[in-house]
Amino acid sequence: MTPKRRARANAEKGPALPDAEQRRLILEELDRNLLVEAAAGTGKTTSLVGRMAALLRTGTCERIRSLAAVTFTRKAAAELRTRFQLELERAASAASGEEQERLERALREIDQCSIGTIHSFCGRLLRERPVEAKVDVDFAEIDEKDDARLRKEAWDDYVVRLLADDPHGVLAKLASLGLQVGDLERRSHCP
Amino acid sequence: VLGAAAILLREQVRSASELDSYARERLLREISDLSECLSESEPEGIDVFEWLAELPTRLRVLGQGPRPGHLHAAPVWDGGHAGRRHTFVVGLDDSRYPGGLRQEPLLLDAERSRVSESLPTSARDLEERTLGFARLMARTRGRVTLSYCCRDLVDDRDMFPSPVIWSAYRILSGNTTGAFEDLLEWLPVPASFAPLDPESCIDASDWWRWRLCGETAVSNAAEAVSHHFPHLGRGSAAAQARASDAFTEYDGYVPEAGADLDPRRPDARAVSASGLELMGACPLDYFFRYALDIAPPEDLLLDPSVWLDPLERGSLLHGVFRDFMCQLHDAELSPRFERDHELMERVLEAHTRQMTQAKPPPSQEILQREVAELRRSAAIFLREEELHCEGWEPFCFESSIGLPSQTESLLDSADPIVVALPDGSSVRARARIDRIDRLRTDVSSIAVWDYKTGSTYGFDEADPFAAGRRIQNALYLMVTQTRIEHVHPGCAVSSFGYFFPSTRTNAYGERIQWPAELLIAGGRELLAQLCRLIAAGCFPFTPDPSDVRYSDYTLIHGDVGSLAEAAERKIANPGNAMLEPFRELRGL
Repeated sequence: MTPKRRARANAEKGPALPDAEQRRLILEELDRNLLVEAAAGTGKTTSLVGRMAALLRTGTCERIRSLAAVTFTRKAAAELRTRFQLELERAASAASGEEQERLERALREIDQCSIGTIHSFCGRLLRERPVEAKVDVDFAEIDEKDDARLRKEAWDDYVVRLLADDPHGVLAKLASLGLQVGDLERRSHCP
Repeated sequence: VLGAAAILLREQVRSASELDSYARERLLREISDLSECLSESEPEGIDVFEWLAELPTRLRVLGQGPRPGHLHAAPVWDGGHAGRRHTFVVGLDDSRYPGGLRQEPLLLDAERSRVSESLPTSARDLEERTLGFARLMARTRGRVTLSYCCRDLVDDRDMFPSPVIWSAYRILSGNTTGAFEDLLEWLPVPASFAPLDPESCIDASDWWRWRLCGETAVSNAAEAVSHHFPHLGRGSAAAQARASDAFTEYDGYVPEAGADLDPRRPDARAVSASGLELMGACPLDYFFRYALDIAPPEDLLLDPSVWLDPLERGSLLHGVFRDFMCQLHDAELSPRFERDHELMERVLEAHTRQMTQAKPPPSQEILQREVAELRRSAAIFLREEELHCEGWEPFCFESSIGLPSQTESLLDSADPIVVALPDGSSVRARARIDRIDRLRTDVSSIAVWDYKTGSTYGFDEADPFAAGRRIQNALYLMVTQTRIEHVHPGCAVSSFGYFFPSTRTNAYGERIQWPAELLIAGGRELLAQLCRLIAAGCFPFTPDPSDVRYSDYTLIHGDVGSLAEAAERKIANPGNAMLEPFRELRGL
């Protein structure tokens, strides 16, 4: 058994924990935003999964497609997804009536839940709302090399425009300081 | 545009196979259809160039249905109909399948619902994808293999299975509450390029990978490879020889080449300062250049932030200084900054214009920046020359000895000059000498100058020969002495110097000069040492990596640090007697 599992198992069956009240709040105070800060292995993910299931069970979150969980790593996302499904299954079998219906519906639609890394979450937001985010509909993420190349191209374009037309006298101001436009570029590359 | 694209496809594009012909016909048909469509209505919102660019990736030709004896590839929604005994579903990693909800950005789900209930939404699309997989599973017969890529080789990171693999695990293992970690433990060892056992090998390459990487790796792999692949065997022997302490033919010990290259032979090619200095800095590079005649491939990649490389910049400035000084000399004038500044600017402008035509700058800003730097160098040159020429009179510019004449200098000579060595032998030398001045108070006293447009790095007045890396000073002095005795008997060269009229580190018009006696005494012996080393066919790699910082052969050298360490070991090994001249040269 991994240390995390052991911690979870202890949390589940051990004596009342000193932070039991906080744990209860996580599972029951569903209309408030909460910040949970705790050490590794204390059950943050378990609490999160429990809160997600509770949101769906009580109908606080009507449809699973409006639920999102963001992690830092892909592995954590994959792990969270399976734990969430197991928790929903467990909760659905323990529930009855309307609550059971809600949970079973959530299980059927579980693929619609957004569980992923912060990168994938932001990428999805931008892909869905390119107009509001003012990005190209067909945009793609770039790597560092392309980023440097595009910055350079943008800078060169700017300088060409500046040399052709300098209404604000930028070049003259630089010259009065003993600088050229190229000096700024070199300076910007300094760490 | 479409018409031109059709003509290009019809008349210019090579069609080497049946597949090519089908592809061309298909492309032409698409182009024709669009042309027809556009001729009937206004072409609104269609970027024809973009459409053409995407066309080849969009079309498929010669697609086939499933055939016996062939592997049939089909998408999830389309596969499984042929009733094959074996079905492989690949690409089931969590980032690819089933994929999350993806709303169409131009018409979001809420907007779609308002327009019509029958318009597909992202949820329905996802549902379709999930159902598509379920249908595939329902209709497949025989053995089904689900697989996912567990490692992204490009980004070097782990990848994780799709939820469908987890579901399959729960069904197959019977562990209905099995978590993600249980799945990872349950999965078999990931398949890789190297098969785990010989039964899994499909071809000879697989078999070799299994033998080399598998658990029962070959004990005498190197020996077997050398035996069966003689070329690899020789490469392996060369690598071993380079790694040893002995100085071998694989390290640059080639006596046969030495006999051919010996500059003292009567029929040998004339030596140049740059060639000898290459020998002094890194004999192996000299061997590549002059024995094997290897030239680096032309670098077609241009640095967008630079207009002139150091060589081009130096060549431009040399031309400017030559033309400027020739004009003053013709007018019998000595340089004066206030009076001649404009002339210098005009000469520089003419050379710059010529250079921009030969090599256009990447941008105006870069041109402006580099021209400003060139102007600063020209100004430094003029200011320094004004002071220098108070005592000296320049009278020869870019004299060509053993090289085609450029300025019809008094000292030009089509034939190389013979330079005597201490042991009675001689070499023939060629040179292009930037400047020769005579003392105003004693015109028989001559000074030779060479312009350096880089920094003063590596130049030290206290160390004229830099352990064999510098001989230009002595060689040019001796060549000029011989030539001037012929043209102006009674004249004697009193010194050689470098002039650094650039804004590079420590330069700013600095001059480094040595008297003739010092250069002739040491230079003749150095020249003889270098000739002996060449004649002995001793071309070791330099033990000092800074010698090859700007080498043309870095691609061949590879890891310069390790090569230099190996060279140091070999040079220090007293068993390598043939390296004694090199040890003497470097003072080791």
